[in-house]
Amino acid sequence: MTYRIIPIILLDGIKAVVTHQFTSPTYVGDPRTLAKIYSDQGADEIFVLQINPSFNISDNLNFLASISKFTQCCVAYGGNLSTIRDVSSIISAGFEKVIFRRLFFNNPSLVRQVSLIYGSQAVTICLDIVHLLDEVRFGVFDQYSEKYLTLDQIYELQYCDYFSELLLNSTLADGSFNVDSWASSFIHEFSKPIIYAGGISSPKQINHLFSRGYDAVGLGAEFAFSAHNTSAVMPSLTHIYNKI
Amino acid sequence: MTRQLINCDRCLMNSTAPNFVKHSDGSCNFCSDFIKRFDNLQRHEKSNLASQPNNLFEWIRSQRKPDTVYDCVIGVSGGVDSSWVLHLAVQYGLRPLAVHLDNTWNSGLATHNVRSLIDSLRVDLQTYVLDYSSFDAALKCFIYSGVLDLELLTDHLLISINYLYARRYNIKYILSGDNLVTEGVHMPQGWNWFKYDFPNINSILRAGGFSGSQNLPLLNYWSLFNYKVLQRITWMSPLNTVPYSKSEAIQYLVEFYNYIPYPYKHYESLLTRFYQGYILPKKGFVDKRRVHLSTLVLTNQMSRSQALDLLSQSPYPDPVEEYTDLHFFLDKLHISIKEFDSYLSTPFISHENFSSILPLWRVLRFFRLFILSIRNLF
Repeated sequence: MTYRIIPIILLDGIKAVVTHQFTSPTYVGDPRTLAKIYSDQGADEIFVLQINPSFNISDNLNFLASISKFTQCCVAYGGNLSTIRDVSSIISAGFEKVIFRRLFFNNPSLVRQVSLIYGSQAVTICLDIVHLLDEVRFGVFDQYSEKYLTLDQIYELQYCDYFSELLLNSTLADGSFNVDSWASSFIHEFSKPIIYAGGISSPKQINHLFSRGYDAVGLGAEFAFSAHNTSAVMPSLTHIYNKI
Repeated sequence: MTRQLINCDRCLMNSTAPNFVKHSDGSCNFCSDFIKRFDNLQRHEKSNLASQPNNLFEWIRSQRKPDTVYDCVIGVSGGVDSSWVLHLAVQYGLRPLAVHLDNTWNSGLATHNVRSLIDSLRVDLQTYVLDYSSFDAALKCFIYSGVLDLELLTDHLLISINYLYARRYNIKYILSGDNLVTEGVHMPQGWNWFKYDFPNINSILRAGGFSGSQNLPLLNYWSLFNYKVLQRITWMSPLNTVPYSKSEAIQYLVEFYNYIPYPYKHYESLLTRFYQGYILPKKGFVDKRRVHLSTLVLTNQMSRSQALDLLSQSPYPDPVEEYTDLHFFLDKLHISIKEFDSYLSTPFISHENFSSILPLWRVLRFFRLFILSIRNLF
């Protein structure tokens, strides 16, 4: 079996950061170098996620292009995409996929339009996993909006033809070294690939997530912070593959 | 008319080195000087053996104080020498704090090697990540100034952060991978610059209009005085006190830590690789491999013919990598091909054109050696 491990580079403007529950960003380096490192280490794909709401895509296209330029793998971009023009700029900057989160709720017709133009394989939907009392909800939960789907609505998503995979992002687990304990048969039954991200800090947890039925895992903070590395990004994909 | 090159018959140095002198027996000043220092070191070690402990690692362990977490700082780059120091430190029962300077030009191999080693040895690691906008802007000042040693800034900052973490964690010893066995032949004059030369760095940065000095942990002389004299932090080269074979070390690291070796010394950094493999040979006809390989030949770690064979190959074993590195370098620093070509076509400018502490440092060093030799007489 081939495990899909996807390095995630979080951007705060033009700097790579890691976060704890998507707050308190800590600077960890140049995203261009990080993308090259992951690619040189054999990554098949890389996710680049912008967390700064004031980041302007059209003003920083050259910078974004140089992130993907020196990689030999598929690079996906998410964050601050609000128009078809933004998406086409990102695709022309060398990214092969776009990741929608808030826009999926706010402007689903635009998501469909992107899928019609670039194909559904170029669209990934990202949902936050949030625990509210005994209930688990999926959606967008931040200071700007709170929109969510129930588990039944999520089930329905697998029949949508305008996206190819689902990224489940545990905001609770982000940067915590603990993966979300939530588990459901839904993960096994969902017909589209599901990627888990948030809190992964050891090869053991990666194995555990694959055994739960996830098709891929996204790693960000693991490369940055682990039990013996408390300060910055020090990635080794080979090391992780050797251990799982 | 091309200049006739004079080659040393014993090592790989030749008259491309500015201060090269060939002796009547076929050897040169570089290898004679190295052999003299190497013999001195071995004699010194033998005399020290009688009064144990056996090496610096054991000595540092014997100095351990209660209520301390770490015994020493070890700077790790992902290269063989520093990795081997870390391995030996743990083997000898030390509790090192590994420190890594990320100048945002790390290669995938460097991060893999550091990560594998740190995880396997279960050692704490502190990484100082430089603000990449500031570092790259400072590097551009060095490029536009035309000076040769583009590595001066990184090497200077590397020294600085080792002291910084030693001070922060109240550690008295810094162990480095410096050693005579793999890098003992002196760099020829003008092939690099004095790494403690804070005024030189400052002057180059000022000339380039750099305004982000506060974002770089530069080591000024007050800090150096504080670290060395007031805090009594000592910089040590433990590989000179133990038998060290580079090839055996690589073999061990590969087997036990999944270490990935690289073709030439210091190629773990994208910047150093490009600087040594592309800029130096093309702009200044300088091939630092000549010095590194000479050391290996003189310490019988490689035959002369093997070394000559390696030297005859391109400093960039993979042309695709060369192409990618060139474009990555230009892209990251926002330099156009035209600008870079014009940079390569002009000769290097001496660091002496900028302020420097070196003349004063040489005088102080002379007095220190003089006082030490007087003291030894009595």
